Amino acid sequence: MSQSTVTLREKPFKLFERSCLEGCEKEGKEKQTPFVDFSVSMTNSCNANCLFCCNAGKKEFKFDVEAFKDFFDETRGTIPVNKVTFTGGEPTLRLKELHECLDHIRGKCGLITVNTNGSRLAEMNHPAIHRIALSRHHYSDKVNDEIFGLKIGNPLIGSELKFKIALVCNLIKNRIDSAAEAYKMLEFAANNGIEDMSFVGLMIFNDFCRANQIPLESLQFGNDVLCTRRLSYEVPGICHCSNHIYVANNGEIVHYYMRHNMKPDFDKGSRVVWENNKIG
Amino acid sequence: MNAVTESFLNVMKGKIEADVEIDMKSQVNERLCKNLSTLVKEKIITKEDAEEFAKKNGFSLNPPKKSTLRAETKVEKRKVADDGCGHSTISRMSSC
Repeated sequence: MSQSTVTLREKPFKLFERSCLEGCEKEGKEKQTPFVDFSVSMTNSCNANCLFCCNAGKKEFKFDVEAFKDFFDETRGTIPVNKVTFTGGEPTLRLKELHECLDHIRGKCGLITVNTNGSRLAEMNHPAIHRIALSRHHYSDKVNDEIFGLKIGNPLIGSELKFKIALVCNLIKNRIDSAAEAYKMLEFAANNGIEDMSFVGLMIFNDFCRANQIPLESLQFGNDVLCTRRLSYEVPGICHCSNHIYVANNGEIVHYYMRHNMKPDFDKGSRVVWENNKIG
Repeated sequence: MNAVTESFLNVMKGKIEADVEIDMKSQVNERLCKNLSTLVKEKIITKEDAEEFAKKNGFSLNPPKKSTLRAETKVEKRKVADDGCGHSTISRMSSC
């Protein structure tokens, strides 16, 4: 294995260039250890109907737990696995398979995240999970439900979950599309005990995304926001993002990041994507 | 401490003051201490910045008393390697 690539099942994966992080060389030797991240698609099905969905129209498949476990173990024999993200479709529609995967990888990687629309959040209490990335695209339950085309309400109310929940909010024209609206979203996070959230620019998958994309640069915040770092992927024009902290009206701190992926297939260049029971 | 950081910390102080009852300065200071400790721990500000801010505002960075703080979240904080693009191993969401 060279320092810059790793080969998994005859497919080369480029390892990350850490020099693109400002000041990262000051943050400790441990970061120099090469690793890979996994993005695992459990299903192409979803109970929501978002207009900006990148999965719409994809053919459904039956997730093969054993095939994933074999590949995960094989990879760990070659290189450490840092983060595993279970996604979809809606991964909680394959709860049994998801739990079997979680049982297997528990304690074998740095961070385990599940992406979900929150419709089955109460059932997500597996001890292997470090973090739920909860898609929440508006502070109003009613508007959020309209965006998803699904009755979700606020699954955070009365939540007894033992892991961190981070909100992921897409920036959409006439929804969260300005700093004023983003502030309301940050307040929603603070009022629901959420410490981390993100604002994500729509990737251009279809005409809806093209017509409703909001440039991150158009959101100008005041002095209650502190930018803590800015990142750019090593290839200009693919992705840029930045981390910030916001102090909410209740005095609590909310960390948030803003991400603008410029290329729809960005993930495939930056992590090991496991979909349709094979490397994507 | 640079002006941007100081401005942010002053906003934080103002919002905490607005959130607590009048004449509860000790609670304001405890909550400020809690937030400052978080910011120092996460290397967003330096310990020196936090101490300077505390000194300017007439309190010291003692550990906050839990009894008078806002209810702690039930979410367990874990130090995990959050990577995103592979840039960092901080516990916060970062990048992609």
